[in-house]
Amino acid sequence: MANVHLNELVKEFDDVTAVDGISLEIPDESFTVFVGPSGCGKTTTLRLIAGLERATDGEIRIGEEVVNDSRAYERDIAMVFQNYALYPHKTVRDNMRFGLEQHDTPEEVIEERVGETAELLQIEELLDRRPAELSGGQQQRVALGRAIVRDPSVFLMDEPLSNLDAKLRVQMRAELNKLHEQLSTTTVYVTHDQVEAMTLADQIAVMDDGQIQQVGAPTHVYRNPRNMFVAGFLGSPSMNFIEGELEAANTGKLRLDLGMHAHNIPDEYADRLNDRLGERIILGIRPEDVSLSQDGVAANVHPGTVLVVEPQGEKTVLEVELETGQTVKAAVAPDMSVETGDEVNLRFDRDSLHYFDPESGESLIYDLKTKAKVTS
Amino acid sequence: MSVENKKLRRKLDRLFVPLTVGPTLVWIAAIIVYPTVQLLLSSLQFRNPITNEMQFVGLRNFQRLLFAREGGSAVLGVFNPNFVSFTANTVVYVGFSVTISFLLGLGIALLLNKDLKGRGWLRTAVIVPWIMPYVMSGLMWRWMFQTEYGAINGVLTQFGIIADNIPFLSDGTLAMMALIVADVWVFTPFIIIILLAGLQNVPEQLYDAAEVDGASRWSRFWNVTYPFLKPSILVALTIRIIFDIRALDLVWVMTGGGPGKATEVWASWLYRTAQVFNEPGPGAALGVVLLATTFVIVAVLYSVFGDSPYNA
Amino acid sequence: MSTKQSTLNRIRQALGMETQNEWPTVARERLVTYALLGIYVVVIWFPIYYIFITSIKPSSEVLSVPITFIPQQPTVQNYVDIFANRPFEHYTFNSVIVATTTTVICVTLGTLTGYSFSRFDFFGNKTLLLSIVGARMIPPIALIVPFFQIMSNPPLIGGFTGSLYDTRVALILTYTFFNLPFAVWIMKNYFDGVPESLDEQAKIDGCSTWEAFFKIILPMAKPGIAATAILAFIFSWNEFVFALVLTSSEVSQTLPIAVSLFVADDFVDWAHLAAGGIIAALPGILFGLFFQQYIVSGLTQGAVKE
Repeated sequence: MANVHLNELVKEFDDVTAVDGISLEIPDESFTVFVGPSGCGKTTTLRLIAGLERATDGEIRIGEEVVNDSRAYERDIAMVFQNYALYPHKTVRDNMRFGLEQHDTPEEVIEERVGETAELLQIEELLDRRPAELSGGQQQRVALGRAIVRDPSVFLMDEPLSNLDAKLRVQMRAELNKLHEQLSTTTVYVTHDQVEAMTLADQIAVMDDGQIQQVGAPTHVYRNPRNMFVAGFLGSPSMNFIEGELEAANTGKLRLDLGMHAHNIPDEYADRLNDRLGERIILGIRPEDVSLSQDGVAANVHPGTVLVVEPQGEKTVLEVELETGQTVKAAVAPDMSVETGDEVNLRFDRDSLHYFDPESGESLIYDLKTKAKVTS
Repeated sequence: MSVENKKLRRKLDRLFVPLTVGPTLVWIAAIIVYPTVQLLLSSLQFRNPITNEMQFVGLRNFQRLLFAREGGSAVLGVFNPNFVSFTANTVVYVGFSVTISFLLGLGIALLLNKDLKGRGWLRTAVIVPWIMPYVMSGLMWRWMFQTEYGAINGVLTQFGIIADNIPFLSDGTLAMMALIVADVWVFTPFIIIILLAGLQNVPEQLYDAAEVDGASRWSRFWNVTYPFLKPSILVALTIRIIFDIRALDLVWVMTGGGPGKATEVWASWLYRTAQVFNEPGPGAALGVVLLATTFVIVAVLYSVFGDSPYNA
Repeated sequence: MSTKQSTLNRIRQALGMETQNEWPTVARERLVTYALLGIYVVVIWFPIYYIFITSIKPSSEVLSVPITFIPQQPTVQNYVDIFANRPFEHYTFNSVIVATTTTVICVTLGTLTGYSFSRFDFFGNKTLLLSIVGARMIPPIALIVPFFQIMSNPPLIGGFTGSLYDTRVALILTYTFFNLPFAVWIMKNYFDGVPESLDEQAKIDGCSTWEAFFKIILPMAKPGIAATAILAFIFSWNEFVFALVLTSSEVSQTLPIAVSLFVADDFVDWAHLAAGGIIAALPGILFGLFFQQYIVSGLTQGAVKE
């Protein structure tokens, strides 16, 4: 077991910079997930750790050892590929044995480890089959088994669940969680699926454009996004962004001009936002933090017209057009009887507000929110 | 793993590409580049009949090849009658062979592409003629067309279709036809294989969609099959044409270019010049012409038909 | 459904007529398809049948009118004769040696090189691949003059002086010229179809590049290798023109030449020619019958994926 340390890591392909200066500490026994849209550099980062690509610049350490110049076969890692990469001409048993044989493991140890791993994953009865004879889910287990049997310092997983159907994916997700609890092997996991990232990770690294946008515990990152990218990427449906001009009310308090019904800025952010008076900023609020208000028109309640009603089972997502023409999504309880065309009043949860700079996309209150968290 | 061992493994890995690609490149350079250069050199030389030595003669071999001669020197602008007639023979031979075998091959490929029982066996049965040695096929067809004992006259007379045997290979036009028949027999399987592979690229749903739209069979072919088949057709035709221009085997053993010079094509002319008459210079010049023609044909075919919206 | 009805259906089915679960037009169309293909197969196999029965007829029957389409006195005498009176064992041996050696060289180099072209980005790889493939466009017949000159009078390499004319080596060298570019191309396309993650998995399992290739990728490439080998073998086995140019005696002449030798100036010994022809054609026919899918896949890999 070991930690993995990335320092100012850069990978350039011919004319593309895939990884643009990443620094990250992946603690021993952690489950770290790189998440981001396709092309964000997450897979390249994983391949750099694996030794399948050579870093252009920066440093990779596994444990205490700098491995920049080590070949994949010299690093003590195991990897699970998106397409599983099972050797089609070998049986399941031989697929699992191969890596151990390559490392000159004694025969009796190989036997023992393959047996144990097969039992752990409940694939004993598959050992003499070939990959083509297995279902997708079984192949996935074998691929995992092949990594586990090696007992490496680090597991690397490249979208391992993305080829499974939805139901199986949820099941395997739970199982991966369980396995990690049992084995505690440091795991680096790449996915584009934010739900997967949220449920699996104890450390999540949101990537975009070759850079890490934010690192932290999943809930923390979810509740306190550092910028609009992270805010928009995590969560489904994604966060509402509403742009408006910051102005001073008669009372001297700050408010955001949203047409007839201004949005009052909570006092704790007033100091910070004061010097932005007269500028445009972006209000961010997640759909689940938007509720339907019965109070009628009041401060911080925004009337609108329902455009789309989208029942999703456990919740119903409404798309509501505000009087200013901006649309806001709200996730409400499924038993709410709302229909297209209804007039509703939206209330934004006071504790779940975010404010962003429209130019840079950076959160204007990130440090305030995290500080509040710590003190409370 | 020891440090020494590690170094060796890394070193061997670095040598992977040089060691796997190098020998092939050397080999190909030796057996393709060298002879090609030699060909160009030889085409500029002439064997002195007395001293048997090769002498540099510039472009004279090409002049002799292309243009008529009067008193030992070439008359530029008046073509060599042999060149004209052998070129015509080549065009007729290649043109008819390729066209007929293409249409036949397309038809058979479309039939074989259907969901049939025993399709594997049918495909095997259809491919075999192409796998036999061409020389064997040529002699076989020479035997089929033989005047007294050949099967074709045998069938025709025994069924009372003709009264007297037809001397197929002693008549210029009939000999050319016989040659084309043999060529079509040998090479249609090639067309079938390539087009069958191309037909696999047509998405099944498009046929269903066309059927739901009520498209006729003809319109389904043009609007669904053909666009996907086009790259395969181009490949099949290109390879077929350039291989037919260079093919000597069938002509040489079936008709030997005869009767007279009725079936003499470029390939047999080249062989006769270089080997039978032992004139390597003019033979090489003809080789250069053949080489250049091949490149021109490929270039033209690809520039005219090369683009297809489905060409991946 | 009553028994009577299902019997009726079976008869209809046997005749290719409509059944309950098919549109009548579809069934009729299939019947026509079978008929057309049947006629085509019979017509193209007729010459093969005719040359075969010629080979088992005594010469007297071969040259008699009216010709017979079923041999009256079948015999293997023609086959015995060609081995007794002509050095057919030499021709056969030469064919086997030349075709096998060429195949081994082409498959070995083609596999290694094809893999490198498929996996690695090295200096000038696109240009090199293009020129290797482009080499196939060179009409071999255009090169009979230089090949004849070079083989008769080879360049000095390592002090070797003799002539290669009329040797099996000359044929092997020449046939490699036909087949190696093709082999590289087929194998490159084959490896392109093998996911690169398998190479990577092998490396993560502890393999060097060589080990990954030999232990993991090569064993998986058997179908591609089979296709390349069969095509290279058939091409070399069947080749005629260069054998004609480069050989002159049974020391190196191959079966296609041997068959053509039955054609004398004005007389053709058809019965024995047929027997020799059948022997020459046999490997091809057998390969075709048993390895049809490899031939098809090889040609497809080699031709269509350009």
